[in-house]
Amino acid sequence: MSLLPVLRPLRCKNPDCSFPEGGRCARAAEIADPESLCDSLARGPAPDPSEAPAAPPHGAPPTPSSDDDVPWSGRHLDPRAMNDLLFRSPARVFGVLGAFNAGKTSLLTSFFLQLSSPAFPYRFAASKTLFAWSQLCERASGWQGAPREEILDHTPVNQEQSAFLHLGLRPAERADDRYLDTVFSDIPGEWLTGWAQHDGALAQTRLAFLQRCAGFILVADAAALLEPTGLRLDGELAGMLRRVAALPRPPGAPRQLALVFSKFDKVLGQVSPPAATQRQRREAWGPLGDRCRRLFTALQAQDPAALQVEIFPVSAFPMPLAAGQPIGVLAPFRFLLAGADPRQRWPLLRRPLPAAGPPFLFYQRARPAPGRVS
Amino acid sequence: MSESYNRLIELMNAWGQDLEGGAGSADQYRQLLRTTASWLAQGEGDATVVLRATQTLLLDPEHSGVRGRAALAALRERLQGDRPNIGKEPLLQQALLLASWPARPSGRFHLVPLLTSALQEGLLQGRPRQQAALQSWWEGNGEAMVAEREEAQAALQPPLVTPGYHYRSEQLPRLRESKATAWASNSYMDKVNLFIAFYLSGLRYQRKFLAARGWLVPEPPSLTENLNQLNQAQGSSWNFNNFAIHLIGALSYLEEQVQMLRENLNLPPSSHDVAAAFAHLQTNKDQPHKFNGVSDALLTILDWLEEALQPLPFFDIAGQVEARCRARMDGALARSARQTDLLWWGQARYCHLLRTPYRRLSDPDQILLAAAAEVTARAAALPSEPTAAFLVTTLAELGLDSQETHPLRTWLTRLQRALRDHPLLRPRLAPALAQEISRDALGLPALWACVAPERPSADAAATEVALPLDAPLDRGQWASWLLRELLVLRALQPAGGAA
Repeated sequence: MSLLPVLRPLRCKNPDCSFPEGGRCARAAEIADPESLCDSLARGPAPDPSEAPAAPPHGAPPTPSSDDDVPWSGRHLDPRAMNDLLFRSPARVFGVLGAFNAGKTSLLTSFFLQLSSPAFPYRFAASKTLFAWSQLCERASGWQGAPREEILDHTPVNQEQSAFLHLGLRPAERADDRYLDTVFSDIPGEWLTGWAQHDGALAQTRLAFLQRCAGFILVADAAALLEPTGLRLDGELAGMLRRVAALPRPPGAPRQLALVFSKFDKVLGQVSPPAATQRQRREAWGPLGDRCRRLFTALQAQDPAALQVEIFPVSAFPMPLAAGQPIGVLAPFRFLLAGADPRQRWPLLRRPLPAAGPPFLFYQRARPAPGRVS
Repeated sequence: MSESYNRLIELMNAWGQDLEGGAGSADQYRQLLRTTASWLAQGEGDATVVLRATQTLLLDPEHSGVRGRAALAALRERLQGDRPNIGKEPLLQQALLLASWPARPSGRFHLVPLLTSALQEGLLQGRPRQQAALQSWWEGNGEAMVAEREEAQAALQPPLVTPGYHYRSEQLPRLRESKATAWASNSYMDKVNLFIAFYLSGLRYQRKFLAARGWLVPEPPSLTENLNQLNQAQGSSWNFNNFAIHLIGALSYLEEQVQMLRENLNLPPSSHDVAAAFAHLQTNKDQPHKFNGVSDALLTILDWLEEALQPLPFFDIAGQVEARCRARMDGALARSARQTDLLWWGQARYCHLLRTPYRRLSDPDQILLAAAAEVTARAAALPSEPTAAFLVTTLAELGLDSQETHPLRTWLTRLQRALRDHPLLRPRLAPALAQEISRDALGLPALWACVAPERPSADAAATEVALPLDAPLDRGQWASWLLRELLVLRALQPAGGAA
């Protein structure tokens, strides 16, 4: 099947032009409407689906990228590809932590499906791991609501290195013409549990990326916490939280940690989600709070200047996809991105003045008080 | 190079990247740093390099179309041979630039403070991890404001003076003349004494200068004592014998020191027979009636001293000092003249461009543009920030509210209208410069407007100048910004092309 001419991809002969990728025409100063007036710009032939490269299996390292590669050739990014991405833009890396079966990948999948929501201040722009997202969504859509059936496959514990999911986001506000790279870790819970218990050399190698994270999501399975084995899980989560707090912190503003009580729909009969202002209090979470004494103790011990923590009750897949909507999935991501993407204006710079020098050097025009904005 | 490599690692770590975990090797990054540094070195004489490097640093890597910008293309073309993917890595390009930036920027780098209004007026947003490095970079270049830095250095540095240099140069021929025409030994000896004192004090001064650089041991106390005795002996009464002993002592000391210096500097021996002159002086010191012969010997020694000292580098300092003093004096006079011209303009409030007093102009945008253009013409060599402050003060005295605040978009639209409505105020851009600005006007909204004042709306500027056009600026900020860009325009114009 061939594409209509208007749907064929744009290509520009000018190497400086990024217009076909949604960017800026290199001759924008001369040409008001590049699409219709620029002679360097043309619609190329439609890609032949039969020539599309086969997707590598889960965990397989992506092939080295070149200019002609489609951006979604890999299922997950490996640490090297993630690092290369960081050379291109100040990508925000988020560590998604939690024990086995906590619902980390489900949370990410549900978030991906919610990206078009007007309640989220960003919109989907691109992904280098689109195939991975697509596979996750396809797998999730196959779940029919059976309680014992897995919604998603578990992240394989036998993979050799950390894997990451990539999302390119654009601010929903049209005036904000930016493209943000975000990267979410997708690593097995067994690794993280082991790291919480013992920060060995293997864990340090596998989880080296955590030091560069802009924020963290700590996923706690609310239903599992209320089970008889919940106390042990509480200890593991508290250990993870302490490990995160002990990570070397880049200079600047504090990092954010979203503590997500996942699968909250399963515990709604026992725990009522407290109001947002009450969530930092353990008592407000009722029996769940009673089970999370060590986790809340670890939370209280954090320095808010280094790690800002907020708690969210979330249900990623309360019902099959066709039947219902997730609950509270966007809130932790909104919180994380608000911290990782501050857009405040920089303060007016003050030039350093020499201790001795001609008197006019001491003159500096004081910034006047902000006045009326027309 | 290892210093810049360490700096690169430090920057990348602070920005959340792992240089060693990336695709390149340490050797590759070192090569990239070398290439970047050699490109930046061209910036000493090539303003385009400074313009593009500064724009690259101001650029937000998250803005759309970053990779297509000409600002990045300039460095990318240099680096692509070493790293083909560099075009996709604006953040790495920024880190390379910061790590390779010259420690003591000079030449065309003095334009940097004029090109960074977006940073100075607080319009850059986000980039929390890069902010500290960029501010530190800006502050380092803030010192590159040539006029201010030179003023500050001159104020801190005491002037160098070689005592007696001019006196000796002028008086030696007179001494010779006096010896030949008049028999007035006492007055003659006064002059000789003065000469010796000048040589000794000059030598003492130079010894300090050289000792500070590890050339010579400090002055022995006997020299001062010798000079004092010489003064006492010369006195008012004629006691040539006593005087001559000390004179010979002082001259011998001078000869010894100067010979030592010349040897240290591998200078050839002097043509004067100073040994014979000393012998003659020694032999005849007890015979005042042979004064003529003694004074010949004295003159020979003084001639020798003058000649022997001239090639020594420290004696040439006198010439340097003179040249520096003259340059400082000329600079101060020229600056003072320019400042006076600017003050006169500010007091007269007469628009030379439109040949009318400013009070007759009613359009505030026309006033602002005309005033900025006229200040630019008078302040090209003055420090920019005080000049901008003077412009704002003058505008306030002309009745414009310096705190009236509008979004950048509004200021830009109004500037475009003023440029369209008043062709006399439109700066003339050299075609090459207009082309450079057209290719990429990142961070330069006023120059962008000057290139394309006919565009009906400033909305297109959002992409072109890559700034948040809704950011509020007061008139004072905008006037300062406009002045800086017009100063850039003036600095980049070929001679005779300024508005």
